[in-house]
Amino acid sequence: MSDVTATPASAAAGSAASPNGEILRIEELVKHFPIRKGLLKRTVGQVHAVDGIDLEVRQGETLGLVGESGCGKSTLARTILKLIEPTSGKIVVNGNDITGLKRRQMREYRRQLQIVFQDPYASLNPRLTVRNIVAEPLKIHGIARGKQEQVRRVDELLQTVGLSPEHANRFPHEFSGGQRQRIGVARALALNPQLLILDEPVSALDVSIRAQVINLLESLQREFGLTYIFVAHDLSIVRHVSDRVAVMYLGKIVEIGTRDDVYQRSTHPYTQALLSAVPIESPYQRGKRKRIVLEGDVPNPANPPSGCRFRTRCWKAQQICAEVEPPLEDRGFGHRSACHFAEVLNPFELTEAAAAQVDVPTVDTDVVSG
Amino acid sequence: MPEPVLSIKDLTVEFQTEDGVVHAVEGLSYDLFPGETLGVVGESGSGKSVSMLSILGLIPQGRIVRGEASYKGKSLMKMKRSELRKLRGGELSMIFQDPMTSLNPVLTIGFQIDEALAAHNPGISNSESRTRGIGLLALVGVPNPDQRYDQYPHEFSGGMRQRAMIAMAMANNPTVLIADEPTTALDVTIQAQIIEVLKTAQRETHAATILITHDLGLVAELCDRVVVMYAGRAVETGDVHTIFESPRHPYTIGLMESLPVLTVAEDWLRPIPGQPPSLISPPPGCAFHPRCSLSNGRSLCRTSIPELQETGQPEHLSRCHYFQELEGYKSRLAAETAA
Amino acid sequence: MTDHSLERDASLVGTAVGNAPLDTASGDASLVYDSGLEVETRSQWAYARRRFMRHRLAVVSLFVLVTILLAGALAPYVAPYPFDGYDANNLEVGPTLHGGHVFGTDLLGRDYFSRVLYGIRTSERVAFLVAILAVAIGTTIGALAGYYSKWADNALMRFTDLILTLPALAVLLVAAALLGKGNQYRVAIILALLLWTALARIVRGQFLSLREKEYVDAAKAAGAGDLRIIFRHMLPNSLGPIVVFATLTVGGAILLEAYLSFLGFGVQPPTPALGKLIADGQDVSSHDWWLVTFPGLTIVLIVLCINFVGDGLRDALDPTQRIRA
Repeated sequence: MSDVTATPASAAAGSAASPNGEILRIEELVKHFPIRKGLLKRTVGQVHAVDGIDLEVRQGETLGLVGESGCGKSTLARTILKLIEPTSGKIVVNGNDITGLKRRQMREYRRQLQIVFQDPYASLNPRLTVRNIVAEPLKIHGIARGKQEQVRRVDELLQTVGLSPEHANRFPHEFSGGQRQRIGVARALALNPQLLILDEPVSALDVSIRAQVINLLESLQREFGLTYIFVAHDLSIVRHVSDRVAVMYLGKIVEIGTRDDVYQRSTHPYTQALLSAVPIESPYQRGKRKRIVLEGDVPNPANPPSGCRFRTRCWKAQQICAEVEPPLEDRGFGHRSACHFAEVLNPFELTEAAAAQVDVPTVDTDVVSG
Repeated sequence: MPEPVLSIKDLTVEFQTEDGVVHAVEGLSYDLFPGETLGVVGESGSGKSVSMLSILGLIPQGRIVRGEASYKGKSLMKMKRSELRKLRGGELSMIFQDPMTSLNPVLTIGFQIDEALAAHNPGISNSESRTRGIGLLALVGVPNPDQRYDQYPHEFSGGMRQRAMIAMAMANNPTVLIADEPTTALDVTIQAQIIEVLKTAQRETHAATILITHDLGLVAELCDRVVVMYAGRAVETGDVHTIFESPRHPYTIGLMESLPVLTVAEDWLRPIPGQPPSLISPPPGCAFHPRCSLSNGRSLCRTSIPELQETGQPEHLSRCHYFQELEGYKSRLAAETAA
Repeated sequence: MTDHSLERDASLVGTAVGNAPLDTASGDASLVYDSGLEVETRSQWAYARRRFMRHRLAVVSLFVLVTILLAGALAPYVAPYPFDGYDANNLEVGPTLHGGHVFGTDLLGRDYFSRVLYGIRTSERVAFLVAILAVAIGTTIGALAGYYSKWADNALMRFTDLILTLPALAVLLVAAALLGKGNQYRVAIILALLLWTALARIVRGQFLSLREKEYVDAAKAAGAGDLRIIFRHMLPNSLGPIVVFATLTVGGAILLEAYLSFLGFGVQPPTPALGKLIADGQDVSSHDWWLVTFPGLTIVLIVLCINFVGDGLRDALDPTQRIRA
């Protein structure tokens, strides 16, 4: 694994992390998708997919991004990479503002930021051999000139992800889902990026394969000093891989902190409900805790509720929640949360009494007999 | 010991494909007893869905090569098609994974519930059907059921559509309810709601339920007994508490060990190495042996397919040559270690 | 037997990275991550070829078609007589083995078989040219419309609609008349300009859906430019419908050329054209039935074969039929 890490000379422009170790900084990032209707395709509304996100990611850490469908996490991932153009806001990579850059100017920065997609079937071009797929970034950026050098580099990348170079001349459809994801990771590593966005990298894989790929990602991180943004909806996996976690709801971050802050000391009701909703892990846990149940469905992102977006499903909702949007700030618990009535609640130890105390609607985790 | 309400013996199902014959299910046997919830656990390719769909006559391309499946003593395979159709949706009802595609988008929800009712209650009046339909929607927790009754599937969210599906499945007081990955396509908070709905459905109908899933968490919440499937065969069956506390098959153990646990931090996960086997040319002997650390390359595993054997604990069977060596193993999900 | 407790096996941890993945299970390292690849490699085309072979009608039609088209292409070498070889001794002779006039002769004693062969030659020249041009124009416009969104798409599609509304035959006649009695190439160009629209729609549709594919996003994330994405990622994955379209267009063009020459336009005598042969033979067809029948049958046979082959191709190249691993 000798020179997989880039030599400084060939590294992309401005690739040194800013003095505070921040690889990525996002300020007030917004992405709205217009809704068009009618013959003339007039814009009748906007889908508030990402609605004002502030985020910093430091060198070497893994930031977990959790949320349910429609929260905007995938849109956020793509917008950070400028695969989607932001509506407003700022994206700063290693101290350089890339927000307004055009396609051509972005090319250099593509070497610092890469992405691994969710669907192992759709993320590889079925007409190209694995070799060509992994070599493409190299060809685009003119790295590894000469056929021999390219072959060597591709072989190296494949081995790094646990695949045998002999199979490089095969086509994606001949590989299993887990192997295809590895190919996707190899491709993402080709340019020696610093930041890797992982958009639900294991959700589409079989359960027994997920652990393999997660271990792979973790060891790659240690070996190459990578920084990860790990987007997922599976809370157990996010807990395992993340150093810090951000919880998203309807285009906004509602809580952010270290892993333990969020998993053991969450203060936002949505986070608490989310954690509470995860099925118990063993039948012996039946009945040992109550589960928080949320009413209703996620509101329409084209028409988010006024004030706090979560208030329509929140058991704490009061008048102020409809009038004033709670900012994401430290509420005295050591990490930031966007709730007027933030307080710590451990969903895993929610007894009947504790639930009654905070007046939260719950159900049993007991099973019905016969 | 009551009579099983559904009994499958030596079920073997094959598919013809471009690349060869796919052995989707091999010699599967299990029973379903009245009122219980049986979890059928496996990953993709394990045969968990195919086995159920084939005995209900829902996979024409699959060929049932041998085996028997009987409902209340009557053979499902020997039944006339019309008879089988009468059972489906009536005494044997199914909930599928993707509520988007299992509901007809051009018909109202009410119409579809009415269809289910009318098919098994000939002569039911329109108003009675409507009343019962609205009642069912209320039972599964759909708000404003009288309005929602006349709405179309696209006006429902994913979670609500699944509720509607469960309502339809409950409509005719089924004896057996088969839920095929009912929450896989849903967000976790919606999943929690649907788990509640399923519990309600069981409480109201006293139906025996088969829950087909890959999610061990769902099994832990809902099931009384478990069948673990791998490469078309049942590899371990038993009571849910026994299986979670002292599993006796390396695949089951591997599966449990490879999952990240929400309440405990770990450095590395412990994956099952290797890939799921090809169903067209499965490995010789035990299908799991290339990935099995218990086997460690021993020749018996490579040459002979193990039988399902009693492990010594009541009703706990394992399909492994060396399961005795797992004696004393306690999984990390067992009682003492649970959070 | 040793104690095989399933306590954490540290070596399993290291298998994710490094050259030779350790596998305590079977000792065969390659089984760990690369199992399932023992079957030899088959590209998508091989699967398509196999699927095509299963359509016996299509395979037979392909055979027949290739034979006919080859005969036409090699007409100068294959035809027993030159197409304008007047044989005063054998005027209006029906099909006969005498003198080798298997299709008979026409009013001027010309061997009909040869004339039909040359007619095929004309038809296929025009048809292939039309197909090539129509594919080129249609693909380009469709690709641009599908790749660049909004106004480019709108403009191009409205233009396409415009062309579609033109009644093909009428335009053909007007154009043919205006351009004068043209040669094969003028006819081909005019036909191509009318026929590309269907393909443009198809390619646009393909591109619209391919644009959303994650591998296209991956290419963009790697810094690929538009040209690279279009030519390396999107076009190769759109080939199926394009090939089917090209095949069916050849058939359509043959028919249209026959119409044109029947009506007296398009290629001019003495170059034989199948439609013209029919037109000429019409007047005396009551007793010289072969003059109309053979060219007519030839046209029918060619177009029929093309359609069967097209059907077979459509099935073979249809990606939805591919069973996922």
